[in-house]
Amino acid sequence: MKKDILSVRQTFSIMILFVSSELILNMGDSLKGNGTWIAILIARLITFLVILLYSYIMSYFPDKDIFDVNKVVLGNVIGKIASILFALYGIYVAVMCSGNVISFIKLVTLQKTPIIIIGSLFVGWAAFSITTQGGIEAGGRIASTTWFITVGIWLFFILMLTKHMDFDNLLPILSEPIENVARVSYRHFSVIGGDLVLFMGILIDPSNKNNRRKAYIGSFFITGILLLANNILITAILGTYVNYYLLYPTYTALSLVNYANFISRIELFTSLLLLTCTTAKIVVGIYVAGKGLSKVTKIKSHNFWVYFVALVVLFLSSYSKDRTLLEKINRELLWAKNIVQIVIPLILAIAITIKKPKLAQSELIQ
Amino acid sequence: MTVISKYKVVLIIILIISLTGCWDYREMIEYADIVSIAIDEGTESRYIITLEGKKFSQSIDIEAKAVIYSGKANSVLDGLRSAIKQTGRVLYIGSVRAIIISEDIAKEGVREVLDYFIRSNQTRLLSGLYIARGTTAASLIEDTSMYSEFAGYEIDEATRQIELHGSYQNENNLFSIGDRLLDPYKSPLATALETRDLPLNKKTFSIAGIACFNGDRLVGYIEKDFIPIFGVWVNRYGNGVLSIPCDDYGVVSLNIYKSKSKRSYEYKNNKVYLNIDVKMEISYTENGTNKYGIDEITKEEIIGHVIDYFELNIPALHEYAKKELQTDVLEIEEFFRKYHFSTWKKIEGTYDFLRDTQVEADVEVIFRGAGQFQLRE
Amino acid sequence: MPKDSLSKNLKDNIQLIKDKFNDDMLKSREILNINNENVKIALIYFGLLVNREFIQDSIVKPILEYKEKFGPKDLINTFGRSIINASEFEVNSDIDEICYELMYGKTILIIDGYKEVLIIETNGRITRTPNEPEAEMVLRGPRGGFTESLMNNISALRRIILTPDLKFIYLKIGKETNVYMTYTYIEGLVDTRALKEFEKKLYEMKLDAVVDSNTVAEAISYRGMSPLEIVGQTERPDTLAAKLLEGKIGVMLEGSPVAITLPFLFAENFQTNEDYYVNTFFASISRLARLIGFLISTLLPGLYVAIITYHWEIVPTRIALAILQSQEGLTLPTPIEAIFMLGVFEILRETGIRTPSGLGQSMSIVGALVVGQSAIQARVASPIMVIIVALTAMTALINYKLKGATIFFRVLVLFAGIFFGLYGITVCVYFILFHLFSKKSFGVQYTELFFPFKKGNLKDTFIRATGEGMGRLDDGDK
Repeated sequence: MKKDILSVRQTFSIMILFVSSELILNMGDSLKGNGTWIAILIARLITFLVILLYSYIMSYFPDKDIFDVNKVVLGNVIGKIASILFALYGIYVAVMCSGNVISFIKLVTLQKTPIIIIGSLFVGWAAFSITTQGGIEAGGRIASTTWFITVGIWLFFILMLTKHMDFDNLLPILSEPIENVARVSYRHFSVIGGDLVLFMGILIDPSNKNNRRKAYIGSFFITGILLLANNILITAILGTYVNYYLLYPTYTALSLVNYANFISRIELFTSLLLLTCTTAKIVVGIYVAGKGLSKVTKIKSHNFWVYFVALVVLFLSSYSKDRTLLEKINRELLWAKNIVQIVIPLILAIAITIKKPKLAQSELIQ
Repeated sequence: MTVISKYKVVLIIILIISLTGCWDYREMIEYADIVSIAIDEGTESRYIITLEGKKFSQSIDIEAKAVIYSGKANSVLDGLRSAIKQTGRVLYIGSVRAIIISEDIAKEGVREVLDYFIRSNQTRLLSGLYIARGTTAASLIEDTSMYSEFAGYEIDEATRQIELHGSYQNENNLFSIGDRLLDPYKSPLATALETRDLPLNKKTFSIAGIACFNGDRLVGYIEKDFIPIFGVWVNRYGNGVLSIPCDDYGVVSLNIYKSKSKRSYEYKNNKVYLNIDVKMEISYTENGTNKYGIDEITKEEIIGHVIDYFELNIPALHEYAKKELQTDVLEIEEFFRKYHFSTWKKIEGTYDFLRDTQVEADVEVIFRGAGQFQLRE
Repeated sequence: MPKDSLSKNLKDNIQLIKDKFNDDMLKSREILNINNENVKIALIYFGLLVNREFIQDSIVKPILEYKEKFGPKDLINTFGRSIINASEFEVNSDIDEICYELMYGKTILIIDGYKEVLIIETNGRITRTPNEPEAEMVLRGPRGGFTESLMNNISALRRIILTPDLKFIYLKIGKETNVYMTYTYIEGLVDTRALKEFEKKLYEMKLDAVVDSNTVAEAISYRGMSPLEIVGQTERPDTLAAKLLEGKIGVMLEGSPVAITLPFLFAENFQTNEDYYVNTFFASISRLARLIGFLISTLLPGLYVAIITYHWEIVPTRIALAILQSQEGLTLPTPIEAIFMLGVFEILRETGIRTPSGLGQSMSIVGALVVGQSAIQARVASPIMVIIVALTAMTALINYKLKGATIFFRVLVLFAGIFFGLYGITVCVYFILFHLFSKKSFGVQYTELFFPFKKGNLKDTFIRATGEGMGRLDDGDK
């Protein structure tokens, strides 16, 4: 396999790790009362429709990535603008993710270490893994091995908390007004599900045009089950109010494991594993941003842009002043994310459907 | 040097910079490892904090000893720090097994006291939280240990064993109390401890009931005799031993294998009716009465005693909660809300679930056996 | 200056060859057959390199006892085909080739009047008996081993794989040493992609002196900064045969008992030939022990230091009490203690290898005293650290093939743990994984057999499945 092209299995594995970062960091939202799992279910349904949209677009261009597609379908100028937006989105996702990782680590263990040092560890790791000899393909191979180890260990420890689970905590099934549920559902989609748009920037095995759909839908089901199960089980363990107030509910739930005073405080090991998932997210963000910038600008070297973007991500995620602006987008201006997640792909899909006869002659592979 | 390797050098430099200084590096021995914390009300300051720490000798053959530190301050964290100031070590509460709060502070509200412990990521969420009843919290950790060097370990392990032995295990750890503090429909419950004098000027601790809170204020105790009833009511009664008083003749002891209580509600004529169906599997272990000889008690009599005991005492506990505690520690409203949400929504705020609910109990007992001796038919 | 070349004069030729070597061990002997007195014949050979009995019985005696006339022409071929009693001979006139063959233990037969000479196989070099190699001993299985003689090694291999598809390609390498080398594979089984890449590397290789197969191994591997080998080494014919039957390529060198196998995958570091000679359950347990041993040896010191200095809350209470007790009054901080103890162990290990066996026992006693009891008593090290180092040391020796890599990774992980705690170790482990997964051994992914988990591969990695045959390497492009 070439350095930049992933197989179906590798894409599937990276996507699972990508979404599994939510298991510990909980970048979504939750309701004060009961019903968060319903909101997650609705969000997953929206995500399903959206990834069908992504796979529809890319099925016409199995050997291209979104930046090439933008150029072909939308033309040079608009295509470049769209590509730049995608690249900026990649930087945004990487910054948010690395910022969350840094906050998590600072809270949990390394309280005195400066933020930029912690950040340089993770961002440096991400940049290294993209520019190393094997490239993102080596990362894909590692992911295809470690994804079920990560998920398996999470599941194992959650099941160790069976005696703390009280499914009565999930009752009443819906105690919040429907507007709150819709709000949480929208946030959940925008922050978690919609980030999958970045995978359009990664090349996948072009031998079959349905490869992307296979990878996207396969990972969708597994991640959907993971997210739902995580929410339901953690709510059963912690209760809805604690779940609402806590910054990292899964981490707190795992700290309740105690067997014979020997196996205890295992939350650190699980947080380590799940942090590797967040690094997958940072890697994808930086990779896609670097790729986009290398295709849009005159400097064509991907490695140069990867290092540049990594430095930008490092500084933006380390300095809280800059992060506040980006956090504002995450909290109040979610519609800005939807432009890249939904609007641009929708325009692409419509344009492809209209332009299909013209494109069939030149660029399309049917 | 190519363009790519220049950037690799930059990356390496960044990584090297990250090696300069180890901000969070700390040797284990620099920590003051705390086993238990006692918080009492002070006169000159808000709190008197007493800590039980560990002291090691340089020789491996000599075991660690308990050492008591004390500090006064207006906040818990300040008190903890002032207590260990003389050791020159860093405060470490990750090994704390018992946090004991005095009755006086608990009556004013525990939320302020627990704020630090709940927020700190160092704390073990399974640390036990206890209320010192009729005594100071400090007296419970000073010289009350009999079998191990540290009172905190002994309190933690002994209370678990005692409660297990008595069938009802109160969830008195920091997490469950924190959970109950945040949930507006639940009331926190903590194990209460008191000191007990022993010969030769020694003392030890014993369980003195379950402390009940209204919000975060201590309102009263569920006494020891009511604890099995309470356990059955809230369906947290498990394996263990139950001693049932038999009129004036003493007690009959039973092994409880399984106990399941099902709470069902009915709302009619603007009134809530709670029916508790108890199903219990027991076996007979000991005749502690002077009424029955060793082979004189029958299975029916035993079952009768159990049924009478629970069917009478369950409503009695309800009365006690109404009069003495005046707080819904029996989770009446909480469960009604869970299972009849729409009805609850209609009567929320207007109906006093504790006072106005009608409670009835039905007990079914399954008799497993009586040890090696058969019972008279 | 004209190149040296043979003439038709016998004496001139003998002198030419002697002048080339100027070595008293180079013997020449003239032979005169009574019935052919006009034919002058001479033999030249290196005394210690030839089988003298063979020369006597199969060359000299037939010539001396030949009763008829030799014939008017083409005496060289006549001698080779009809008179002398040798299984191999060759006619040559290249002085350099002739000199090389002399060094190889062959005898040169020169006839006056002929520029060509007869080169006869009379190799009698002393080689040692093939013993079981010390580094690859088995409890149950064949006890053979390679020796320094290439021919013996080839014959040992031929005895195991009796198929004409077993090919040997011979070449000479080393400008100064001119050593015979052969690479071997089984046609039809070999991984053609790996073979092409190997041959490309081989013919690009330029070496001055080759004394051991490791020189060749380093020349053909493009390791970069990696401590991991991409060629395997073995001294056992059965192991080499097994690798060839898996589709691999073997390389053998005259003068070296160590054969090289390639491609070499990461999983092979944990495989031993004994796994296939013993019961499957025992083999599987041994293999798992090796894998776990590798992980312990690499990760344990780093994990211990990281947990003790950054993440103390993980330690269970009773163990924490014991560690605290042992740490009280220690003179060195934990990271320095770890580095010190590991350093002392490495020195002891190296001393143990280099010391003659008589002194070795004393060294082990000194080591035990220094590292063990005295260090604890002097409060230089804690008992727990001594246990950690002992475990690390023992498990490092399970995987002899990975000794270099284990030490390197252990140091990396230790420093990552010292400076960044468990997060640093996680990042370090992932760096190592990335390195592993990016690596290729002659076109084959280094982690081919381990990851991703495929049902077929698992038969021979973590466990050794029942009835496991020698599987083939994938010939695809993954």
